[in-house]
Amino acid sequence: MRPFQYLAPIPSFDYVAPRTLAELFEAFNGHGKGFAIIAGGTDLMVALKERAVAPEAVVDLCRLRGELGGIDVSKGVLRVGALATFSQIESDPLVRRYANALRQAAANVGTLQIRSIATLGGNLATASPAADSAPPLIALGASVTLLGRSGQRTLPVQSFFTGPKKNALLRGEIVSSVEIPAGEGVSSVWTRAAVRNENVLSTVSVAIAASIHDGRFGSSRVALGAVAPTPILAENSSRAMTGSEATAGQAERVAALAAEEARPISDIRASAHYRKHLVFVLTRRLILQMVSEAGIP
Amino acid sequence: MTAQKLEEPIRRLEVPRLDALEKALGETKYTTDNVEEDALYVRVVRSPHPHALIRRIDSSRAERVPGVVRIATARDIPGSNYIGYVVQDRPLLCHDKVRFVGDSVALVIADTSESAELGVQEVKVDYEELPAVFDPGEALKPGAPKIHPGGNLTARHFVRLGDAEEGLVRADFVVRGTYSTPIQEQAYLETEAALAYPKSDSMVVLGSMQNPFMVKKAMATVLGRAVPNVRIIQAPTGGGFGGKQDAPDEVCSMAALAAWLTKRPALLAFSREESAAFHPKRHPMIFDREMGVSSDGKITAVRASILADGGAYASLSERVLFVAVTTAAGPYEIPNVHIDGTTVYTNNVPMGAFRGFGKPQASFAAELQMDEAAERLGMDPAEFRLRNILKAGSTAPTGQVLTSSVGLEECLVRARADSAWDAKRRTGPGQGEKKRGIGMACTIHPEGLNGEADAATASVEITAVGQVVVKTGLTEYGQGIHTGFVHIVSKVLGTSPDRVSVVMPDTDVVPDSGPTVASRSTVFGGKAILLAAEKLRGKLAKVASEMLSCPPEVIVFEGDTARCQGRDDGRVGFEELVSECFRRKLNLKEEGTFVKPLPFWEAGHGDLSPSYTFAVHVAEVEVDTETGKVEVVNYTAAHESGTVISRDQFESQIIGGVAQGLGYALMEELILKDGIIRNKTFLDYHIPTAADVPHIRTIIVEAPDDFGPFGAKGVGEAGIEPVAAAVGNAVYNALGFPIRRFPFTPERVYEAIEERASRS
Amino acid sequence: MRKVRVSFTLNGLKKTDEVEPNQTLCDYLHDVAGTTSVKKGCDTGECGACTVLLDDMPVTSCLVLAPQVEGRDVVTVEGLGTKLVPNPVQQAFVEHDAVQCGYCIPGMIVTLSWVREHVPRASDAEIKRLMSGNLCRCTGYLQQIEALKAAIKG
Repeated sequence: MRPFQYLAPIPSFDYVAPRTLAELFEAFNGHGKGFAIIAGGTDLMVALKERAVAPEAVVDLCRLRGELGGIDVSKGVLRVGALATFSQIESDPLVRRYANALRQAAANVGTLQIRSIATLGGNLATASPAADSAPPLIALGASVTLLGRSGQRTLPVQSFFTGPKKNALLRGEIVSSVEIPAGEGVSSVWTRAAVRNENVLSTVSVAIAASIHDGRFGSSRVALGAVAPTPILAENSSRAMTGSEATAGQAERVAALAAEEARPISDIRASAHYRKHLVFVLTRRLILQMVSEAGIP
Repeated sequence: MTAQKLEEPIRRLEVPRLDALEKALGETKYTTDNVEEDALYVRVVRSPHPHALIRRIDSSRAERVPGVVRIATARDIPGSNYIGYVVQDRPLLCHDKVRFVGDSVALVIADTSESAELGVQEVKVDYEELPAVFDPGEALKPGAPKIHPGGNLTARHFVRLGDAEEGLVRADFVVRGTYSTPIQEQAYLETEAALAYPKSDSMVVLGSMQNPFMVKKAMATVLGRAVPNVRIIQAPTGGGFGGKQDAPDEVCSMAALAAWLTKRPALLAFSREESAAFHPKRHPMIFDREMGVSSDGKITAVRASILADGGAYASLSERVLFVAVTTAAGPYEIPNVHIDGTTVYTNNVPMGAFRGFGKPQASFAAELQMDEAAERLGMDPAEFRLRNILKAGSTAPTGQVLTSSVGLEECLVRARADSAWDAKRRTGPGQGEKKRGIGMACTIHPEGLNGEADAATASVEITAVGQVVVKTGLTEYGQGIHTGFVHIVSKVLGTSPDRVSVVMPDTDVVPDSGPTVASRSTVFGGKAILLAAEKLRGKLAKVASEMLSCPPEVIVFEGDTARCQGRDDGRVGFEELVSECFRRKLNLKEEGTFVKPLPFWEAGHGDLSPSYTFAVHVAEVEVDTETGKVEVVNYTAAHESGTVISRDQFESQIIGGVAQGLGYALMEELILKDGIIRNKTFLDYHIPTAADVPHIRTIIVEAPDDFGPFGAKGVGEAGIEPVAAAVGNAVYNALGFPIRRFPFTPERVYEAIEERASRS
Repeated sequence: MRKVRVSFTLNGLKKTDEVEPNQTLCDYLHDVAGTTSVKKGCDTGECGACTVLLDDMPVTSCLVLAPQVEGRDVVTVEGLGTKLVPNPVQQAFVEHDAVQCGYCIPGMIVTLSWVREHVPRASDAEIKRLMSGNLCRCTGYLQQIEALKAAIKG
């Protein structure tokens, strides 16, 4: 590691702000490999200052809000545009109704100032293992739509992440939207642990989406953040939860499986051992919260 | 959850802070807000190694970078390269070896900051790495890498009173423990900055600093005879907390060197991570401590040894250690005391002055151990403290008989009552996974420079139009001290505060009032100003007495007028009185000087200061025993600092100090690995946000003292001193066992709970 | 690299300028446009000292590129009040002793003015959450919260 990275000034580049998707792909073409995409900029700006990237051009998506923004529901799918900011997501009634866990996570991303500009698409594209928006999307069974010159393709969110800061985007592709199944009767919750109360990276985050009928969990998904090279779906834990009785004992069992599935590293923020333990505690608490919110004694 | 104003103000602030509106409007110009068209930008080439010899510095490539005007190394320094606050052991620019990661090696001076940055990358330094030492215990062992020619011992201090060995033997039981404290970063929002302007035979430097006269001294050392006159102007300064006590000596000297070499104005401003890497921090300390207690709850003896990591250069280590050693026994009557302290050089970032100056560390060890002893006794910790607490006339653990006001007991009694201590201790931690706890800690703070002589000079003058101008070298960097000075002067002269202004410190204009450190400004500067204002009042009274035909002794100054006491018939307006003085050619400029002589200190005991301030804090926490997260849910801070000059500002100092202390207690710890700071930025060095600060109840105990102005004492530091200890004791109360190391981060607390569970 | 021409509104006045593509909005406002209230405390979006309103949302201007303000509305603390007519939050900060060293204050006031305008019924906990992107090392925040509440009450 370099002991000193002077943060300013950023090495220079060409700035382009396409007005149409056609212009966008044209701009990508014009700069070969050497371009970076800026949306909210809250990740890219820090990467530029740290010299983690040194593009010859920065392509700004800000004029494509018509194509890449917006939040709407149709045919049982909640679509969140890649350029939706966390402030928009946090206060959107559709998100509150169909994707409560995403709303909770959005309200905790960074700070008010970050949420004002940081976008969902950007958060996913950065592909941080600790991305707060990812576990809710994975738990909700969301997929991400990637748009390139020759068309679009759709991936489950968990498959979009391929490693720390690595994603499935091909050169010339962008994240265009996220699609979340907008089913009635599914509730979703999110929580995290961190060293201070706000304006802080999550040490561990957990999201769960499930339905409860007759005292049993229906189809359930448990997703984890900051405990593996990417945000992950805790498959064993999700399977064990699906169809199980909504009780404290089951919560304990599901949480223990989630902790087993976590593969965290030790770094200055937390040890692997502690992170695994947090997965257990947070998962169990979320399940108990769902049980109690469902009115099960 | 707001700062509760408990009582009716004694002297509520009638005057808003002098600089508050300007700051709120965004008009205040800090150092880097001054645009200087032809200014050059300076950047520092820093050592990537913790300990290495410099074989060669090759700046040829850097000199060819477009825009680079000049590279400066130690060879370019016209005066002495060695500056330092207590010991002159720190080179401005290293020439033979580097001693920590971040040590300054060369300056790149360029037309733009881009060019300067590129230049830094092109300066090739050939290093020969040396074995390094990062652990203070290892540093003292034979064969340890020698960091300075004299070895790795920076200083030792000790306290001896009575016979500690005997006191421990006589005790009914002895509690023992090892307590460790973290490195805390000042994290002022404005990083270091200086702007130097060369003049034909002088150098003017504007900068962010606490002590312009110390900067002047350092700069005169560096520039030597090359520049006969140096003038230092303090720019509005965005926080200091001790971190801008000595670091600006170097920052300003570097800017001045660049300006002198290029004959152009030069700006040096640090990035956040450079700031974290450069200025001295709060010392981490390890206390091995034992305390003997009799079964009736009296402390019979304290024996402790303290080891402090001072980092690569001495900075104020020796002074900080002295304060830690002399307050390590706590504010209690203890007949037998034996404290030894050592501070050593390591290849870590230097440690130095930070608000509290050794006392937050000492208080943590002492106050945690008090609660451990109380548990052994089966006694309430508040009760145990009351049995031992210092009172007026008590002999302090340093052997000094306290003759000034000692409001400690009242602080404790009131903090205990207002925090509902007794009820909450009885309720206990509760049954769930979240446990409640309440803890208490005390602090004792000697006034002024500890164990040193101290003096301040200031002047007050009245202009022909009746404006009152105060000149002092004591700086405003957020404490509100200049507003405090306005209070003092307007009270003495009976004028409205609007008439009084305080000149921004400029070494060509104001007298040297000593450094703005050690909570000394109100007491020393305030008293010097009071004395000067009183002399002026004497002159005015004489003239007024002639104008009003009554003796000068009965002249009363109030409401911008002078009148004769007991008479309503005649009065003279302040401006009219001043005009009359000017007609009579009276000199309306006076100086005041206030001196604290060298206190007696010999063979480990003596006097620290004629006067002390005290505080008792109570923290209430909720500990999530599953995640380890500690939430401070309530806080009470009772302070005795003599008479209060401005109640609002007094409370602001306490609340700000407590918030900084909560950061220290809960989350702040600079992490070094092989000398490299791993959390230099705010991403991973966490300071409290608004969401981390609970309701803080402030209690002011007034106990006027004859030492400072109007019986006032200082308040700048005491607010932070007992916080980590109070939180530590609250966590102890919640969990049922003490954690002797902090910050109480979630993981550390969880680990302690887990370890405890695995043992039992 | 090519400079970028931008037209935007700064504190209510239309402005057109040629900006460096790699310049942050923070540096542009502070070094070029003369709005020196915009302070640099960390340059990585954690401290909030450089907070400005961008299309009426608080943002850390160190994380925005200057060219990105094209067609948008930028407000710094200079645009919120003057000595003769301070904004209610500015006035309340003075009256509640909420200012110490002052370096965080312009950014803090931009955020809290926005809170006053848009979330006037915010609970204490919500106020704390919304202001947690503005670090203050001096005051401990409590007087600032008091000041905001007083400004909301009017």
